[in-house]
Amino acid sequence: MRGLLLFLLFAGCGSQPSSATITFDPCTPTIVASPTASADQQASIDDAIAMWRERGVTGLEIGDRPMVTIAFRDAADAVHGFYDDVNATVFVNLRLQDRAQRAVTIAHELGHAFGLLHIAADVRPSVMNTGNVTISPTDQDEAELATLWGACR
Amino acid sequence: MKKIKIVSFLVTASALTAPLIASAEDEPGIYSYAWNEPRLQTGIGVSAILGGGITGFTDQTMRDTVSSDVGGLWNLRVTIGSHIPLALDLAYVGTAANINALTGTQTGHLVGTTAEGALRWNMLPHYSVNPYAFAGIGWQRYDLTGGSFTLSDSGIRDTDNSVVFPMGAGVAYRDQSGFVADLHGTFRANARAGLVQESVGSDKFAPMHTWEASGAIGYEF
Repeated sequence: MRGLLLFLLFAGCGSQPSSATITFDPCTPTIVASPTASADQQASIDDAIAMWRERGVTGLEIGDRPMVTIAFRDAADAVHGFYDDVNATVFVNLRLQDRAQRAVTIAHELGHAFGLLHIAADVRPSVMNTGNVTISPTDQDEAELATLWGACR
Repeated sequence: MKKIKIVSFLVTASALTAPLIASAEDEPGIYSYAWNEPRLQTGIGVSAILGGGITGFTDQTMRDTVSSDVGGLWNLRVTIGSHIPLALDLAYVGTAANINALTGTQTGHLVGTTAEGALRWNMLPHYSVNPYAFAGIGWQRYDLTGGSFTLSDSGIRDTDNSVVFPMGAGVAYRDQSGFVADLHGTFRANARAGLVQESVGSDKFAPMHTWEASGAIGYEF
């Protein structure tokens, strides 16, 4: 009975999927591109890729035929980014004007593309904290990625 | 014999009309502030009304977060004491609005649930048209629904519970059959908002005060 109650409790939450539909192995080549990005937006994309490379991710590359497309759209200020896991597209809010905040947002969404889920801010600081625009990938984020896919090096 | 007939007629007539005259005397006048209403079964008036209307946030950040400045609402309100000067309103209010999201594949809805109680001053408690004012306290919950937000970096929390202080005015029409029609305007002050970041990266949250205009119909007894 207690088990059934716990099952119903957690089944009712349903806020975190087990994983995204399309995910990418951070250790195999994953081409990222944003055909319409401005120079400033492209700089943020480069920064986001550099953040993950610093954490041992070897697969992210910039190229012409993207496996992950990065697109910029207008939305409410409170919505920073979104990983469309059906179309493998990272959407970033046009209103994010700060290069560093935009880079962290892209890094967060690439985290979803690698299969990472949200981490509550009161659990630990993480690039995957909801609403995060300041924390780049951490040691623990790297460890979690290695748990999912194995270490790249 | 003729005199007896006249007396008999007067006695009968007075016997028939006496209750009516007494009843009319007991009924409160239009401007009465009597604390009972003999025409209604409950003696004070208890009404239940169901309706809908429009609502919106007063804060710009919240208005920007949802896709439209004006959203829909539905409500159920029970008034205990609709025909006495001071009544108790108990209400449930539900709201729904779409989130101003990044793209069509990202859908999110902000669903609000409010349960509140208010003291209501009936200005013309015994008249068919009764303007009233009210103020009270309640509990409000907002839930962000829509699976795609689990893969989104946003300054919007999944859920928020807070205390609200509803206040406003309205006018109710009541006819002798028990039918009630009500128009209602509410400002709902939110005491502790914690749903949407005030600005990007901020640890403060946008105020979640709302306004409401609604209409409802129902029955009283």
